[in-house]
Amino acid sequence: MLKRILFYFIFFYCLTLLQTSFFVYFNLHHFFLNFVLLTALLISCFASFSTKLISAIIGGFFLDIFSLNRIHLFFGFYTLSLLVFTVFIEFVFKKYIRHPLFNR
Amino acid sequence: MPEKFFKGRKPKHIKIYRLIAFLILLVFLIIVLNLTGFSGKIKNLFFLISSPLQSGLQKIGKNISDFLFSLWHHKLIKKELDQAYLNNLNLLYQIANLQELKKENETLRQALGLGLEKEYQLVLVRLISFDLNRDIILINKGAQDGFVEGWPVITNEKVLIGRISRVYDQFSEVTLISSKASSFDAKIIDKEIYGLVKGKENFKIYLDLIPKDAEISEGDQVVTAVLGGLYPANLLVGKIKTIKKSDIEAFQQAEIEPFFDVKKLDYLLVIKSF
Repeated sequence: MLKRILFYFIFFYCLTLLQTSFFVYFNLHHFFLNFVLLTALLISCFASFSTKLISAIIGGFFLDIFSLNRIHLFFGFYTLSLLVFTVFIEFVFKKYIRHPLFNR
Repeated sequence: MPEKFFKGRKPKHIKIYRLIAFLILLVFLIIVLNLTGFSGKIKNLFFLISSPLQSGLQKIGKNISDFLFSLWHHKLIKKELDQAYLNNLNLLYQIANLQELKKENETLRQALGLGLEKEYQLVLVRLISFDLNRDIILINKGAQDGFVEGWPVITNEKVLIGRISRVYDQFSEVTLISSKASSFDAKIIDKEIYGLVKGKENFKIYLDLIPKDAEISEGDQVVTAVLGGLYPANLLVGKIKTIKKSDIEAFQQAEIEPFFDVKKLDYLLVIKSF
């Protein structure tokens, strides 16, 4: 578990650094993809529940740290949003979707 | 949670209780971080650790982006180079004329006993990172350097970038003029037509509240006006790209192409007083 947390911490930290400094220079007509959010959302859909929680918390934490935007009204907005999304997705997949890809 | 609480309960329920307890604890922690303002300290710490890495990544990103751009747009670059050469000649001619005017102006000032125009007090800063949603940037000086919210940020060519919107210990956030939160008074050079510049996000800005009878044209240059008091007068904002005029609207609007290119931003200047 600790190894997994450490892995996701380093992974999301590196991804956030790339997002805020490197990927800025590559865009299509000023359209940018938020890779950190996208990765956290994808993990929330396909990984096991504990991995989903870890990625939502760590991904959300780094989004909160490096977001300078006033869209999120308070520190922890992304963390809570991703957690709520993860729990919701888990509930939907468990109750209504029967597919080995989503029910791990 | 106490073991007594879990005794006799199903493992599935225990898992749910633990999850609920964890979420409550997390919400409590977030509330404490927000109320005490400790979140700012955490952010500052991460910015401090990450800024050298981010500077390196920015340089690499810029170099690769420039290289790819030159590969894909070599015809455009050639055309722009030719155009720049012509513009340069034109500007050299204008500079020669302005030198004469400057001499005249200095002589007149001396004759009238007027002091030279008060220069801005400027501080050089470096761009650290961009916001994930793009219309805010982070610079490398903050409260420890005496920075306060509201100070304007410009480039060395006197192009307006935005203003400081939040100050950390060693860093500051700058809200770009293209942010939706940004609006200020501006005027069109040589025409004395005033309007309100508003941000549209994604580095887009537009000039609103232009009187309907005002004659504006594409390519007109927009500078800051002193009316609002947010920015010093005559800072370069951009040039008019497209004009939107409607019979039912009381005012006309114009989309502005900003003079700054966010990809080329590196060192910036903060105006301490004006």
